[in-house]
Amino acid sequence: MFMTLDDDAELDSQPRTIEGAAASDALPSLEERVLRLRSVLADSGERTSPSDWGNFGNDWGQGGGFDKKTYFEKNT
Amino acid sequence: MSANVVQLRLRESTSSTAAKTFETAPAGPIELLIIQATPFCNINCRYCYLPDRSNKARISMETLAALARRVSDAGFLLAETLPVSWHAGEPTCLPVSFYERAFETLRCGVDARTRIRHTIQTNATLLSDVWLAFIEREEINLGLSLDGPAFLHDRSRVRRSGEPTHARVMSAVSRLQERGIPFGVIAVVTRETIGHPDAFYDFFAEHAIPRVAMNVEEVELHHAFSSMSTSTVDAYRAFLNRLFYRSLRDRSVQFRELTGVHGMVASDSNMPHRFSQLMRPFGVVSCDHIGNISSFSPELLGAKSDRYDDFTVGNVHRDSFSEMLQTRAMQAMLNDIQRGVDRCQRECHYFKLCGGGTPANKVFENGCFDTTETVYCRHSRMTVIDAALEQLERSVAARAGA
Repeated sequence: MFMTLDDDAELDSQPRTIEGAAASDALPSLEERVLRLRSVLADSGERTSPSDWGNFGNDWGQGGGFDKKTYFEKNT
Repeated sequence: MSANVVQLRLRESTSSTAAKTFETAPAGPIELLIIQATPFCNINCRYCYLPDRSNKARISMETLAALARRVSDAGFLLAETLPVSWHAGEPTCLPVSFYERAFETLRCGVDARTRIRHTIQTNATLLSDVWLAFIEREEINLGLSLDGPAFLHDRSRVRRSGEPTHARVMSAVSRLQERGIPFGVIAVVTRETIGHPDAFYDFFAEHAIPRVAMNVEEVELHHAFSSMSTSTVDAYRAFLNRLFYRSLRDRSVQFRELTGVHGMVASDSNMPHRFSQLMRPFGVVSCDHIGNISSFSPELLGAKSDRYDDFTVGNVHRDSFSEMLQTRAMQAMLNDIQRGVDRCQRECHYFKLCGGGTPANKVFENGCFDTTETVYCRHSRMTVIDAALEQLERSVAARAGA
């Protein structure tokens, strides 16, 4: 299940961490950010397997069409 | 040493004598077999890199049979599914009857336990009803090249006469949708595109096109200048932020770039899967219309290089894949690619999420594989990761605060 933003969530110019603090308060590494996001998604039961998202195509195609039909019917 | 393994012995750049042995690099399995049915293309996109696109030659059934036999004989290259992409020229310039024979030739040549999945990436200007019926019957994965609304698309994607192509492509989109044939879109993003994120998003949303991948205009082969440069990185980040924000909010359009990073975060993978294909020998295999084989990226086919024997590691009429693995060109490419990846690992803090970039872009932009950052990776890796993580974090924060 692809996560969604609330309709009223605003796109302001201030980067946020996942706790909602301004990014300038702390600058976690990319790896830390991934791990924190992963943890939040795991807690909410929102996990995917590589076969779900796997190969959505590379620079030369391969991503559209029948192989992903079921996934997109389910998720769009 | 088994046939599918290459032992890399690399010299440390800081020492002329010390040698360092890296982990062995397993070859294959083929995750993408790109076949050039013809180098010819009926249109003349401003950013096209193909050097030979007026050449009307086509691949012969003998070459396809030899390719299938070589792939099958090298069992280490075969997985349960063999994805075949018809590319590097406009595939639909050849008639459906050609592909009926070609598909059958490949099917007969490849081990019966392997399922072949065909993909066609097309400019969609020649998709007749006969073609649509064939795509439906064979369940071909279809990718359309469509750069967004007409005012963006027609700047670059024009006929040889200079006439625009957008209307023809949209006619094909309508007919595909009427028949319920699924397709994805690759949109080339130029300096013009990034000034219009909402028009870009609205176009795909309004035309019910939910799958979009974005290829940033690149410097490659005969396309020596790109409108995208280090000066467009910040604007591209703002463009992606807006697209990803809207995608996460209304889900009308899903972008390969956001989906890849989301998948990486939500699973235990270190990087989007497609990133790792490009650094493994024969993870991606390209076969041109006369049977020449290259690896790592189809853009390397047709490129010139003394050091790497024009990036060609063999020909299916002459060489087995095991022999190709041991050629001077393959060894030199692997050696230098690994050096470049090693440098990325030492120098770039995106490495764990990227894996070392795309070798072809390093060659075309920096002149050799043994380098690190490119304009391509600034846009297509770093900026994508930055924007996707930022928007995913916002979405989580918004939900937590709801």
